[in-house]
Amino acid sequence: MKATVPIAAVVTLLACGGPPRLAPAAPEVRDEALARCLGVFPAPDFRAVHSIAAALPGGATGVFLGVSATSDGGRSFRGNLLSLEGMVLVDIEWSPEGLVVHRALPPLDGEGFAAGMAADMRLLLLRPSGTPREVGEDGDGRVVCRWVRGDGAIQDVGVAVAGGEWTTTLWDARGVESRRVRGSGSARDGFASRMELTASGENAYSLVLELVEVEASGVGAGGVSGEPVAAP
Amino acid sequence: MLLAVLAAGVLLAGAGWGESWEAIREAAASVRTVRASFVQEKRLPILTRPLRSEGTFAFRRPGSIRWEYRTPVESVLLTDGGDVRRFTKQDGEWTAEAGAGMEAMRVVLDEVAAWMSGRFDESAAFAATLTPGSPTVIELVPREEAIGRFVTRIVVTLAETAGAVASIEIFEGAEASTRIEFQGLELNADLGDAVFTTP
Repeated sequence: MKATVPIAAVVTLLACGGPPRLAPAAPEVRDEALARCLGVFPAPDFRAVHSIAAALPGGATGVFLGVSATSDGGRSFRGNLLSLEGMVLVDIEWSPEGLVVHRALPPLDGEGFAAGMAADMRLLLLRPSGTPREVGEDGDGRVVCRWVRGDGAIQDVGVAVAGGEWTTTLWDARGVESRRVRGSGSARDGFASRMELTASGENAYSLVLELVEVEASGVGAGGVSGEPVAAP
Repeated sequence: MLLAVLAAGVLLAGAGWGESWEAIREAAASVRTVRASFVQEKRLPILTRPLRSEGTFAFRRPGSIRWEYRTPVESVLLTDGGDVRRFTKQDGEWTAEAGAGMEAMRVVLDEVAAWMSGRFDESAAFAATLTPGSPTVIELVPREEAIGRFVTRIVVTLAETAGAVASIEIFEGAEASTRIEFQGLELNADLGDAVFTTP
């Protein structure tokens, strides 16, 4: 029992450790570093289809289709969660003004599901807004850009020096890690071909997203009828 | 619910074409097994072009079903009259899903059981309207608001060739719909147990 206390303390400290310290980027390379961070997000605007393999609390697993489309230069989006047979299970629309739930079928109509889905999509697909508070390098030599959201949450985007892998980590205002995304591969416009999201906490879950197809739809990208590009 | 529609539509094969509910029931009664490929197009307001899926469907009386997608995600739904199981291919391996969703699929298959014998007009869930013609069309409208929340209307179009269904379209509100077109329909072939038990 004596050993349990320090172990628990260590675990607690790790969980509440908050974002790592960054060595600030030199002014002459700061813009380049920021560009690398932003490069992991798809160029707005787009429409995309992903397969989503979910490992949910309680041991449930499932595979779904996710359809997403951004608008307003990547500042808002609409997302559909579909069964593999094509049934629309959840249909949401998010913008900085708020969340609109167009459709949510049981059992996915519970309180908080749509908000959680919007939070995940925002982390996975949208470039953080505003100017990063810090741009630098972490202890592993990765380029890291750090944004602080209006609610005090901290979002880090870290890009490996080589290999094209990146991570996005979200800490809540208390410094507790809530979500982490690991991306790899690139199909078009920096759109990762595979993303793995891990949500921490009491109802921990994980999602593995694989890009099925993506269609650029923004100005200068072929308009709303841009050709779809199949994922590799 | 899509599965119910898919199964019911394919099972209409052999109908002597849509002059009456009785004629459809008689034709369905003569079908022992069904196998077909299908192309599915999902229309959503946020997509400029439909999301296309392809797969195969197999049925064996009294209640065995294999519903398989080859694209965009390899998956197969299996029932041999008992439990419903779904497998998806992940990293090259078939993986069984675990969760309450399969219980919901069981409920859907119960509805299929009523439609298997062409008894559309006896469905507790949908009110059916038969419009004979060329092509013959069956329209299904939910009787209960609870179902109408996610399926507003289903249209089954029979092919001119006896024993074939041309297409099924499921409407989810005003903006989203799913169209399934069948191809290469094969009736009363010998379909072994493995078709309905093995991914």
